[in-house]
Amino acid sequence: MRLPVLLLAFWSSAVLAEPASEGSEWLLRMASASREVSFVGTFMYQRGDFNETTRIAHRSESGQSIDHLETLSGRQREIVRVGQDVTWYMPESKTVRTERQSYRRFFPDLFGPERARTVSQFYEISRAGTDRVAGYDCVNYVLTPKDNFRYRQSICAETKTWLPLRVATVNERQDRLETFAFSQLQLLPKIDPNDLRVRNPDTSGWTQESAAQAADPAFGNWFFRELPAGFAMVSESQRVMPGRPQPVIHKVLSDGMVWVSVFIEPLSNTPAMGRGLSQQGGANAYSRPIGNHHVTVVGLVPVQTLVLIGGALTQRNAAP
Amino acid sequence: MNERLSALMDGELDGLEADLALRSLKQEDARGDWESWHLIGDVLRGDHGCSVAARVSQRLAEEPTVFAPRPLLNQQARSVALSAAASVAAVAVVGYLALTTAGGQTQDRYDVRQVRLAPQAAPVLADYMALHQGEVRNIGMDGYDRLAEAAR
Repeated sequence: MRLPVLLLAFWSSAVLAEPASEGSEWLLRMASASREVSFVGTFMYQRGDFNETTRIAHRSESGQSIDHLETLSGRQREIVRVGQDVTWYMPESKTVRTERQSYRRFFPDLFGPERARTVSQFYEISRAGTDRVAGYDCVNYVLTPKDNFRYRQSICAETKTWLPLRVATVNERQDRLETFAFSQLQLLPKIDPNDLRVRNPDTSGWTQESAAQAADPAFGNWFFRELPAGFAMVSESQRVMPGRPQPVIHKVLSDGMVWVSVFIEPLSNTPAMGRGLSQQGGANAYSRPIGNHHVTVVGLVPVQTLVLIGGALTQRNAAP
Repeated sequence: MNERLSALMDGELDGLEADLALRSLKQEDARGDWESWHLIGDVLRGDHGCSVAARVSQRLAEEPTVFAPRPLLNQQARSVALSAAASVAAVAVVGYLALTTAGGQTQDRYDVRQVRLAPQAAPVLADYMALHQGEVRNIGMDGYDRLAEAAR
């Protein structure tokens, strides 16, 4: 279903040369943990009354990480990640999709160690007691945003290895918006190779999709004038969606910790959407027309972040 | 001020929302903005009970320099509180009225109004959400996969 895709694995390089704080040290340890330990476990994602269970096997060996994830609820889906290369197996639709140099992160891998310093620029990090998750003792760290553009994060990191065992996003009202947490976990010195293998490796006859292809020049027509502090575009792609004559442009922005999607499509593609804010499945959304296009910004961030991102989007060479 | 007001009345809100967000970026009058965003967040979540109308009324009571549409603002806020509970996909339109007091200071009044989302817009938003969660965050794969299949 995917058309040309351009992956922009760039981040703002303007990281201030400030001395590493205690908070950024903590973040660095959490970010590095999943590169240093091996484990098998099951984690749950919960948001309102929606939840999903995933089994994960993770091996770290001589700096190389391999993950095998498999959904245990809903449709079956397997993911194998070797370093930055990700392969999705979707047996029900007989589709296998690959992506090299993926920007995506899967729990409990929060962000790359190179991002720890940047993330600590936008969050105040403090310790908040201890807890026990999936049979392991952990220390709770609260990431309080320094501005109004992101929500609070609460991370319980395993006492010895710093592996994040539970990550929760908490809004300004202290409601827990979503939670990733291990329900079962075994930190192991060695992983059984069978745990890392796909159940049915024979994908002959399956649809093969590649997520990384040449860029479409149309992408260049849209840019952001000014983004909320810390946010940068990490990927843009174009996709065909059901019932839409024209493809939809999908841009992804992140501050290293949270993710925001921007969808752009011609007005002729969809029914009149109008403008304004809405909420869907726990995330906020902001919609507005720009010229002959409709734009919707989606993410688990405060509404003003979405409004600002939507307001900053500009079409180059647009007719006045 | 009149230009802003008429723009609001005419539904020409382009730029105003961005202004609002930019002002909170610059941290000017940060507290007032922050409260307004809270209010908007509450409306969207639909978990405000009667607190929105109450809080709007309270804010108006605390600030005696009030522009003429005060009752209107109050009434609208109340209708938001009532209808948001019954509407899953509600859209709140945000605008602001800039008021200049006799002392030359600018004060802002926020207007949280609700527009029913067009019934056909809800599935479009649901598609976006499925793409965002599935594509970017690897969550809610059922919805994402069905969307992918339908597009083939």
